[in-house]
Amino acid sequence: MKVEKMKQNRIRETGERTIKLVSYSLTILFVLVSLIPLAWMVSSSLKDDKAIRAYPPQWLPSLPRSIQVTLDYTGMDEAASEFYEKDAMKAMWYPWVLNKLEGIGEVKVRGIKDGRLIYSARTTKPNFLAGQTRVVPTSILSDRMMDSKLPIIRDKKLSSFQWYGLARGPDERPSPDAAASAAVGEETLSGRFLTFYASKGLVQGKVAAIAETPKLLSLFDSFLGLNKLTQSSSQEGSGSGFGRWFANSVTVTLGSIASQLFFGGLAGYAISHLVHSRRLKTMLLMFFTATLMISDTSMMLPLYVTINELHLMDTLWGIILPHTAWGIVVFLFKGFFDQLPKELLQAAKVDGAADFRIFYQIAAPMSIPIFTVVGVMTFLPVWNEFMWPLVVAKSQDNWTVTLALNNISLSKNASQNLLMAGGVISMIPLLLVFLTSQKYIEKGVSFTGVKG
Amino acid sequence: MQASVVTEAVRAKPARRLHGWWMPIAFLLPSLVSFALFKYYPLFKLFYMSFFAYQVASPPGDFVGFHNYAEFLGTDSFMLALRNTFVFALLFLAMTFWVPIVQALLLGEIGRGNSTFRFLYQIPSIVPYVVTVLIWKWMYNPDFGLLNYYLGKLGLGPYLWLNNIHMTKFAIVLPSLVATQGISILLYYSAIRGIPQDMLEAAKVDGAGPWKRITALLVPNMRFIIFIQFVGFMTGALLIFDPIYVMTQGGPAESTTTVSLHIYNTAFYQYRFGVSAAISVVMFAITGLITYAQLRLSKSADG
Repeated sequence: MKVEKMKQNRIRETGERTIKLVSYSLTILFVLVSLIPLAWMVSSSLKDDKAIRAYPPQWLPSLPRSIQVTLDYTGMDEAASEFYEKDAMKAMWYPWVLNKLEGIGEVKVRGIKDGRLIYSARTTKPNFLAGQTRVVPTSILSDRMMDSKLPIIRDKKLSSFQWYGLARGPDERPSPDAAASAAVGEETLSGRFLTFYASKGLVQGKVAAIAETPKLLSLFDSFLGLNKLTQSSSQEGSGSGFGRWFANSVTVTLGSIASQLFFGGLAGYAISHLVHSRRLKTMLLMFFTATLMISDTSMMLPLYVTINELHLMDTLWGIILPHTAWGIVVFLFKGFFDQLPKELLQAAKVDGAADFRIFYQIAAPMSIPIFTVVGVMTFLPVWNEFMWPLVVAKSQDNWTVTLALNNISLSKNASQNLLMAGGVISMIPLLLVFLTSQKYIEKGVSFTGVKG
Repeated sequence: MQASVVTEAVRAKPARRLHGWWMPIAFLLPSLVSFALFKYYPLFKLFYMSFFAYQVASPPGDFVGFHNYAEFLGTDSFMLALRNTFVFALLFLAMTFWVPIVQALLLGEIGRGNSTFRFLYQIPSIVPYVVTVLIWKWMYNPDFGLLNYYLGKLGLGPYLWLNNIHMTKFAIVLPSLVATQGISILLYYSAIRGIPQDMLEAAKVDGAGPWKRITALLVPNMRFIIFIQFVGFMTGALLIFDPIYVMTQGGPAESTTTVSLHIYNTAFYQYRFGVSAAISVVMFAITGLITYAQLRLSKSADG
């Protein structure tokens, strides 16, 4: 009702409909075009190594498969558990590396002997990728090889192996038609596995059953394996992976925000309310805001030398501390505190409250909007910062997310699905900030916009 | 944290003692130290270094006067970097600067769904710029890339985006066309919102069409914000570093090496700190002047 009334009051214009139509369609077009790269990133992050290199490019990731193999040891001599463990590892790692580009999410092997389950073993894709270069570096495979690889698998916990014992395991009868149920041939994955077991003779157990099922959760393997994979590929064996780099970024961002709010808040308040000489006020404000004219690029080298002299090179402090000197922050705080009612602060002073107390108990609570605006506006550039961490963080332990992603992309066998997964993760904190504080960002825009 | 500790202390002691001439100094000290240490000292250091064959291990090395300046000013690689920098700035201007203005003007015509569109526009800016660049680098991939495939369908290409010296600059600027200007859209949009609605209605009554309204009413009212954005935009474009470093590292054949990259390479690959400092001084002068003009202008507009 109300809407209709308003519409009547508005002046209608010929062609208004056309303008609306054009505006909507162009806006939708702009939005779509700008979202395509993002959609491609998300889609790429869910793909396996084969789909990522598919040409023509495919938008929908293919569903990874889970391969379940049952090996029968009936009729063979009894052996120690290590023999079976080795056999299971061969049954998982060897055919996998021959089909490593296929979308395999996990391989499970169960061993049975005389109708009893004697072991079950499992390897997931993140672990396979993390261990591949050390366990099965080439596709030349031999029986011997596993002797030296088993300790690596055990040490890094790359495959799980559950040993039930030869006598005590739960009953397990192979279904008579299990072997036949898997389609033999090169087309299906299980078929390829079956061909491997049949032809190479590297695996001792006889295949009693093989099955192949889709595994939805494996779509997120690039995310789940990101930390482990980046850890295993880090060079100096520093052992830092994506989790560490993400934590570094969080530390740097929150540290910068906290110190800016504290430093800038105090300084802005002092210029606004504690310094009474007009000349001194102007001079102080000039001291802080004149630094806005110094560009980051021209400061890169001298700041590097300064940080070096302070012995903060290659530390997170070295990344954080220069952020405490942002002229715009002092400027914003001063501008905001100027608007606070002087009478109130004066009255508190007359009552005998100390300056710190007035600031902390009266001024600060009234200034939550400006604290939020500054916090949010700092979050974006610091989280996204690239050049300064590039200069300061020499060792992998101190990489931030942006730096790490760039370095991952430069490594020789960079896998794009992993990189894109890292990209998706890197935008999550910013997304959260935007979702919770779009209001403050729009406010911050009107505060800062004019000042660049 | 510290403030609360102090407050506790205040409660215990007579409050009078914390009023003093030194209170402002206590408030200002953290920032004064930080600005002196991370802005003014490095600034001094920059000029100082530019006169030495600077050695990090045993500073400052030999005094060489203006030799560092003379060394780079005439060289081909610096002139190329300077040229690249301005070509990049112009490309950014021509390809991306107008985009958020148009988007904001379109938003101004949209009633229903406005805030949704505003939010959607922000999403590409939520991705770190480096990540955006990495996505595009992946889309540019000559073998598996998205762009070559779809352009191929239109009968174009295939292009060697980042390996063809005639295309790399374009390819580096292209992601910014859609990706980085969400905040600017908000800014322009709020400027449009600032124009009184009855003025717009009056213009309609007087028979001003949409084009007329944009040129005669909207843009003049946005003129100031556009100008300020322009100055900031140009400073940013002249200092561009991240996308180039991530995409091409200045190659191929130095066709994308800008002054920023030149500074970085001279310092951190060639370890010629003195020369790098001298180039930085020149860059500081250029961008400092631009920002100074910006501050002056915004001040005069404030009142």
